[in-house]
Amino acid sequence: MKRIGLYLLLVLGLVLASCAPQPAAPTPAPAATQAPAATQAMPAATATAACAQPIKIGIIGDMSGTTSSLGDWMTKGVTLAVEQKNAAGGVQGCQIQIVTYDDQGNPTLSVGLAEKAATVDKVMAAFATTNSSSALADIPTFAQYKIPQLTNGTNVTITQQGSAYVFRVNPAGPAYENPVVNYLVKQGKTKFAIIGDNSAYGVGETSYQVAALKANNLTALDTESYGVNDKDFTGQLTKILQTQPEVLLLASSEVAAGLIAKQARQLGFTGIIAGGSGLASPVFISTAGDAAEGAYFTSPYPGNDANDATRAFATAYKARWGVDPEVHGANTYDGTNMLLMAMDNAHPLTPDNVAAQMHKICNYQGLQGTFCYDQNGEGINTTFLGVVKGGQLTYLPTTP
Amino acid sequence: MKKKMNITQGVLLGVAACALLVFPFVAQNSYEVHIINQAGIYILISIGLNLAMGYAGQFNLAVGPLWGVGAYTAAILNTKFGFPFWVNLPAAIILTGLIGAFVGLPSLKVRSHYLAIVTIGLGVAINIALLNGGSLTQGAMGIPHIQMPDFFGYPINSDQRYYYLILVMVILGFFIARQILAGRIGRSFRAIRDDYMAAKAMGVNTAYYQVLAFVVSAAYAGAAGALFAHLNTYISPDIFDFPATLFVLTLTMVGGMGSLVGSLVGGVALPILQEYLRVIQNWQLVAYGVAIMVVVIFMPGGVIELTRRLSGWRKNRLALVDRDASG
Amino acid sequence: MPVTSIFIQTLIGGIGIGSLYALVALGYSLVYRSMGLVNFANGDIYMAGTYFGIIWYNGMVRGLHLPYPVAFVIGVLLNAVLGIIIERIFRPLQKLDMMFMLLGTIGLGYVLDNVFTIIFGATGFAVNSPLPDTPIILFGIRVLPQMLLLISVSALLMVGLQVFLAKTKTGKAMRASAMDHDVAGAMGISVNRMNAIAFAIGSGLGAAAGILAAPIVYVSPTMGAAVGLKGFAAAILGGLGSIPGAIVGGLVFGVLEAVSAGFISSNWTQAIAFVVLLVVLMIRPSGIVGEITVEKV
Repeated sequence: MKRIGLYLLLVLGLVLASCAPQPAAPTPAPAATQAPAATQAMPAATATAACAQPIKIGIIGDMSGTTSSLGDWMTKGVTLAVEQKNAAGGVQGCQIQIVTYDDQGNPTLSVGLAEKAATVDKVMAAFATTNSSSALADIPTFAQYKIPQLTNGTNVTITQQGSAYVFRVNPAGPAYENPVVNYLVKQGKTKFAIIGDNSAYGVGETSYQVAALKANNLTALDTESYGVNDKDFTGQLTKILQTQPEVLLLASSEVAAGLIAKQARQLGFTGIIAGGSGLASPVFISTAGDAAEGAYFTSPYPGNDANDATRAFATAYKARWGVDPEVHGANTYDGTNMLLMAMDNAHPLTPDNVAAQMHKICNYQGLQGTFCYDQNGEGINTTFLGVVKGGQLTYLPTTP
Repeated sequence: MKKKMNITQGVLLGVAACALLVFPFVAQNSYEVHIINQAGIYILISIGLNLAMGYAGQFNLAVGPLWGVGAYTAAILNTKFGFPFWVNLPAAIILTGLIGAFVGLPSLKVRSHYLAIVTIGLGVAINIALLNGGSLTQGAMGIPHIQMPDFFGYPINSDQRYYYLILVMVILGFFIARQILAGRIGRSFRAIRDDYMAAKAMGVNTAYYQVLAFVVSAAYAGAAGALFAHLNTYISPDIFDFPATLFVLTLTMVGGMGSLVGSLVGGVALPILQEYLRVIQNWQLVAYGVAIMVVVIFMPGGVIELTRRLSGWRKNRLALVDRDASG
Repeated sequence: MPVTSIFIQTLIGGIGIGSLYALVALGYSLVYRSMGLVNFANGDIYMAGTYFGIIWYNGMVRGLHLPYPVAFVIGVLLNAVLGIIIERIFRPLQKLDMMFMLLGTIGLGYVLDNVFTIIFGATGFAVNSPLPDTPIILFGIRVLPQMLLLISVSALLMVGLQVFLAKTKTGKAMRASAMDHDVAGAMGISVNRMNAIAFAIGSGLGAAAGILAAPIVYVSPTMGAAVGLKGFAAAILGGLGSIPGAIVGGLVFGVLEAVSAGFISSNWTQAIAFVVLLVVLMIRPSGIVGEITVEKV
């Protein structure tokens, strides 16, 4: 009996192993995490003697476990920008080292790691985090130690906490929902319904959609919510479809948005499907299939083929990581470049001065557009409106 | 249970007390203090859970969300009404205890696995209530800007200072739990756990003590919640979910279910284990899962049981030697 | 759309997701009645089974695109093997108290979740339905072919399981073993073998559920968490250890969620489902069907 068990285990192991090679591509990626010495070894010779130790930048995020794509994307974007800077001689003659911290998507762990980044590793600045709840939880710690905290969470409250040390590297939620709602209203649509998840992200986006409609003197015919793990939306959608909306607004993450679009079409919805950055993703399109066709979305990133800057970025990113960049990689790349610029300008180089220099950044041309930081840490307020055509994200010409 | 303390035990206790007192000064950095503070908060919840599950045999798998009730009580009282920590702490204990009584009511009717899913389900309902609490709980956005406490004008505004507050609370919680167990309540708890029907036949008011077990565990979670809210200064519903319950359950069982010292051991050991597992990156959660299985399957009594077994083995051997000598 | 059609439309969505819960609930109940173990890793086993099947269909193993039915069978068999291995690991747990089962099986769940995350990535993927993606419309009610497949194959599997347990020699031996380990042992039935078979069938059903639902629900390592918890709630609702109970519980739980989302308030759907579970248990402490109330400890 024991032998049989062992044998079965072996068979199962072989089956698992046989699938391993395909997804192996991302494995060489996390190089920068544990072995920062390796990534900066080559240009270290250029560092001046004045620089005894490399400058540390922290990345707090979900690095392991079931929602680790977010941490992975952030690490890729930041690492690429840092490696380019190191190759060009670093900041004030010093090389930059990345330290990653895995909060497993848990806000309680995240706060502890913010403390660790601030007091143990004494980072110059930190990215923390894509998850809005964790980003909010980390704010008091970074504010206390006067260390700049960069985030690509979209929740509008992040910059309303009165901290001078938090900087958003992408547009806040309303910038995603206003353009799409305004555009559709201009097209003569008046009957909107909303469906969104009950996480901080979904609740936030839902409220921005409601506000955008209100600004056009409209109210949603129906607003429904669901749990982040839900897969069947028949109940909510059937209820919504009774109100016969022309537009179904989604306040959802990529996968749920795809499932909702699909199920809405199957239930006979023929109107327009629209939403924010959750829809501006290949994951949405692959999940929704044909139902994605004609869906309106907004994205802070105009796509890899938009202009020379994005093409250069996409080429470098692909060369470094073996995959095409998506929006999180792009906005953390922007954020890192601005941070490095602020570090160049900070004399003496202290976290507090870096934060002050970050606030001075204005008219910076990033991949996402022109940045100009205000006192709250908002830097950009523009997004690109697009529509899914032929299974591709295509962008509409920008009209102010 | 009670036995006289001998000299070595006294010395050990003294050393431990000194170590606890000077810890924030010898700690390498405030991160270590932060980890220990967080451990202290988990220990408080764990002591409550231990009283209910380990001693009274009542599954309270809603302690994570109940911890949230305590935290939200303190946060709302502080941010909306400006009450200080010292008012919010007892308020959180009382309110969470009351809600704990509701969570415990089904225990009169269902047991074992059925009670487990009912308390898990009520925990989910509590969490959803926090999420849908409108302007009171501020929904998924959570409540920011909770003030740190103040001790007669002396601000407890750093991890180092907060450490002593948590230390006092854990010591208090530990001794209150011991007092509870030493008295009539503790005897009734054990009687219900060991043989429900016999306890009932002996005239123990089982219904009262079952619900009381829930109230006590909820009150501990409530105290931990108030401490957490005022330490963290920001809370959101996703902190207080079923995985939070699982974490406390895990640390209690790693330490030793049915032993108060087990709660202390598990509360310190598990966060430290997690910290060390970080070096293996992606595999850390796999290793964590394996570690849990190993503990449950090979040492179900937890670390405490292991040490007890080791010392018991030594004692038995000595007894054997004694018998040999006398015989 | 008249109210009755709306209700029926909502009901069908509920029955679809309810069949999924029912198959997962069967996994809990089969194992519980056989060895008195509540396997909280059942949701993760469902996730594993989905991957075991879909990877062959989706071209994730050396670019192979096997036909859907073949991938289905491979997935079910591989997951049954996984079930047999897990039974061996959990054998020491069956004599322990409930809380040890809870934690031990959850520990295994962590392992499965994270091993699959490491191998296949955290993001997950969508799966194309082998059937047409356009709904069948009948009296204004729209049903997806894949949903019909899920419901009908689930029903077939449930009937098949009943027949297996009632008519075959192994099935009868399993029932005997479930009723009384000692007597069954004396009759020459290997209790461990019966437990292993129960685990294999339970895991196989989980894989079947996952592979059937995959084109509807998206595949990712997190897919098991919610389904596992709700499947357990469904098993309890019907009566833990009862086969018809698991089926009834699963369908009721699924319909309850859909109806409360569609007709009451989608904000409170989960809370409503669990509160109804609580009320049912207060009235019938051993679940809706729950004829057997064995305390196996």
